[in-house]
Amino acid sequence: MNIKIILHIIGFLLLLTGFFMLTGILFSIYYGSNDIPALLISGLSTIIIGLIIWRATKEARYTEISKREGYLIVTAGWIIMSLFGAVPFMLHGAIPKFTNAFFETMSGFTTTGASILTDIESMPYGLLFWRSMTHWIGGMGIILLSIAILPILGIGGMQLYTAEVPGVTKDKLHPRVQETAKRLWGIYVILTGLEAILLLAGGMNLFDSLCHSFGTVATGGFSTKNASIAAYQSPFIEYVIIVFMILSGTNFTLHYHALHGKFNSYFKDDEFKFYFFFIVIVVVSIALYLIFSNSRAVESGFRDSAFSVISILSSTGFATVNYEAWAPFFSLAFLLLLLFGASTGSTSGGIKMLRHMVMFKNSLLELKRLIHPQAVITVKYNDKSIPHDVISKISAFVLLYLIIFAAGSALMAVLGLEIKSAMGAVAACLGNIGPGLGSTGPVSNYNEVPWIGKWVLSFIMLLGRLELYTVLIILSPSFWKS
Amino acid sequence: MIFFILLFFGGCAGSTGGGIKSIRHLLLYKNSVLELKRLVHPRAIIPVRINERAISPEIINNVLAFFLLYILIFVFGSVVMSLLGLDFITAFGSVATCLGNVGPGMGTVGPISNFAHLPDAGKWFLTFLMLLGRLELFTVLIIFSPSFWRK
Repeated sequence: MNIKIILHIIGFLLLLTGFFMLTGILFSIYYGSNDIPALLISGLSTIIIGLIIWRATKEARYTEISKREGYLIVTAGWIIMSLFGAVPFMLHGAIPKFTNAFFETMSGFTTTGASILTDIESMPYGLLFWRSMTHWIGGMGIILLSIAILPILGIGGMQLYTAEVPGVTKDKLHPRVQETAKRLWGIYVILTGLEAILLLAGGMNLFDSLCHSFGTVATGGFSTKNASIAAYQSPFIEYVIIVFMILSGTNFTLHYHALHGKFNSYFKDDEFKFYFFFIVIVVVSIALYLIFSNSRAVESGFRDSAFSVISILSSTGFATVNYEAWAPFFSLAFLLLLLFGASTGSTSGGIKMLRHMVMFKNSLLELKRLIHPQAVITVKYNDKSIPHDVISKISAFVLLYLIIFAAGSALMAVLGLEIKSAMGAVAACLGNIGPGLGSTGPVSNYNEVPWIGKWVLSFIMLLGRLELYTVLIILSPSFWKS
Repeated sequence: MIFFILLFFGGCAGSTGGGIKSIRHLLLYKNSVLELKRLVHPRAIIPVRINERAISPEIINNVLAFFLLYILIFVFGSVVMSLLGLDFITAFGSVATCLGNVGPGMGTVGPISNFAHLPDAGKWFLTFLMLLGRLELFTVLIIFSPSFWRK
């Protein structure tokens, strides 16, 4: 294990984090809010500490990064980044407790969007901007950003890339990992810019439109309003956000092809088809229920259904209504949706559609295999057979996910949450969604969770964001054996 | 909550206990943990061992398919029961307990109450789930698959 290269890259991550922290000051100055010293001190000291570590270890610059170092850099990097990211909130006093500030920051970086704030609108503008900025940095991934702008990472970049963007298939946009990272961040910036313009057109001010674009494209879910998107009472804004939540939950490789004129690549991809039709079916059936059983108007019933379902599925977590109030049955329906996730290669969290699709197909094919025991029957994805070891990987992932979900829920129940809230909170944090059910549902927040629970949930968010293995591998004994 | 998770476990394979069965949990759990080892050593072939014998990938795949179908049926069943008007905990508990051939579930079908108050459709549905669970899914499900009836 080469400690120097690990520190070298973490130093660079801090440098970036500090720089992003300072961006909030622009809005503090514009609105005259009182958080300039907090942001300035924490931003500059993060930059200085990062710079010192970076410079002190610069001889490690050209060493190759091994797989194991890659996992360690990414996990440690994310934790350290969250520690530094929490400083402005504590320094200003807006979130005085360390547990709460860390929870809020981790929730931001992992694009969960679970908040402990009871009154968001009383927060100063600079801090609110930093809070949304954590989403944006974490959505596409700070490691990926470093790979894109730091040419020296060309050597070990791939190891870091696989640790931060694990996924199922390795679809690289370019043979060079740096070029892939640049393209992915490029699409990310374009999507964010487009959405911000549309939200401006819908009547938001610049500050709100930027914060909500960060929250949508990163599939995060922090809003600048207590009532989330419901505060605007604007169907146009809701539709814009619906569309961008779907786009952000789509594999970015497909966006890249579309940017190059190949629009049909969306419906050539099995996962996208699965994702899209799943959304359509769930949205339409819930909309029909709302229209006929709750006698809602057709348009608003459809809009509420679409917004809630897509917000949860894409793991964003913005809210316009309390879906649990529709009928008791919807607690259960949304708990299931919390476990789904969107596409692989997107900024969303959760188990993700490709894994569900493969597992589902594999289980059904087992019936066929029982009837024809000698036949070799494989699961196909985009007309290609999926090899055995990939299926085994996917299944191990789904299983670990369910084990962590079950163990986490049990733990939260022991800590005193009622069963529904416990399951909802763990599903929402593991899937990086944000609002869960019951006391952690869309119209409440995580403030009431006991402090041990907040730490457990912070850990679960990180597990979910780095797709379990990157974090778990560090806890396994075989990782440390040389 | 704890008892709810226990409802899924079941006894040992070859015994009369229902549920997913301990051997399946053991196998899948081992497989998941070994995946961590495989990530550290990507070229190594690391099989799952039970009683010191390596388990072939086909068997793991079969166990896996079973496990996922079980969860799928559980989830689907809970949705059906809650559509019939049961509350969150009772819907979960009643399906888990019938699928695992346990008996008492949670909530209003918990250990100190019974199933008498459920709607008729719910009783028929739970009866079907019991049969599914007892015959370990595939035996019943295979009859519903189109390839079973094809010559």
